[in-house]
Amino acid sequence: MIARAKVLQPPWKELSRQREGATFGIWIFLASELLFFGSLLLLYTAYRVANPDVFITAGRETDLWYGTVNTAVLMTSSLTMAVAAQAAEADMRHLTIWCLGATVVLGLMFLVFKGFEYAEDIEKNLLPGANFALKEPATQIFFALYWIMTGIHAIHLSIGLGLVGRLAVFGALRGVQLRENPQVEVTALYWHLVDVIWIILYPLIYLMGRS
Amino acid sequence: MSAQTYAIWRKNGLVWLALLVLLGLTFGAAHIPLGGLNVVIGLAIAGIKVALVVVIFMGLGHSPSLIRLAAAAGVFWLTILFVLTLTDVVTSRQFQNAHPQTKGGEQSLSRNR
Repeated sequence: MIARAKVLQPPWKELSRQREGATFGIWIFLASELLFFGSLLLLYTAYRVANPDVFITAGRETDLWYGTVNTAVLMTSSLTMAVAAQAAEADMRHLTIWCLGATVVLGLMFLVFKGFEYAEDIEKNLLPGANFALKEPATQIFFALYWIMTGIHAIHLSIGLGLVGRLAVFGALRGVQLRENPQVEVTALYWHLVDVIWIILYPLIYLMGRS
Repeated sequence: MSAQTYAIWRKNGLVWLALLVLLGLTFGAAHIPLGGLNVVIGLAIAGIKVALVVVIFMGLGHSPSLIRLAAAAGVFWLTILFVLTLTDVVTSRQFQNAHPQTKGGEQSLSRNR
């Protein structure tokens, strides 16, 4: 009962109601995140409709291998996150903590690969500006969107790393009760959304002009 | 491994395998020259992957209707954002193609001169 009191927060009187409220709240937040990334995707779509060939020329310059490996890494992190959330529901503490830890490691792996990719992009002069590598002006629009979309995605992922890492560390130290804790589900849902965004970005950024 | 642990890994592991197979498919399809169909296939496979993550990993498949409504509201407003904006983007482009004289400011200026 003492551990349960830690999970239950005011104004809720029952844990089940608190969990419903938390899940509903995060889904509303995720819907607003969808609109946030959606506006960037819309900008991408509008510019691509106006410059279809130039966008393909520019897209060819991205690193397909970093993009593909990172997609696999992020989808695997979604697997460990889903297992962690379901293990927490089933009161399997060790499995929960191990899977939260694995999620953090995979998330860090994604950021490290992305860092190498960014370094390569900068070396190839793919940062929009005076020394930009490609001639057609609209290629700079593609790469401006590339940096903004992947950058904002990386910021989201970093926030997710903090949230998942917090649960892993405090869960292992018994500072947070993982069983039936709405924080686990909320964190998992946020993590999956970051994965969903990347899955949508992948064909739009990396798969163009490969045939 | 307990039966419960096995059940959790099996259910989610199958989704993960499907996601990796789809990633392989989309990667392969992008290398086949299909013209405009390439982006359609890429987005369709991305859509299937998103559906798998949302329905199974995020548990929307067995969520109460209130939660589904919240998720659907996001998609609904996103659709409005896209449809209304692209109505302008796509049609003004078609209009330009049909009437080249309205394309650039220079041409219309020279006509007025």
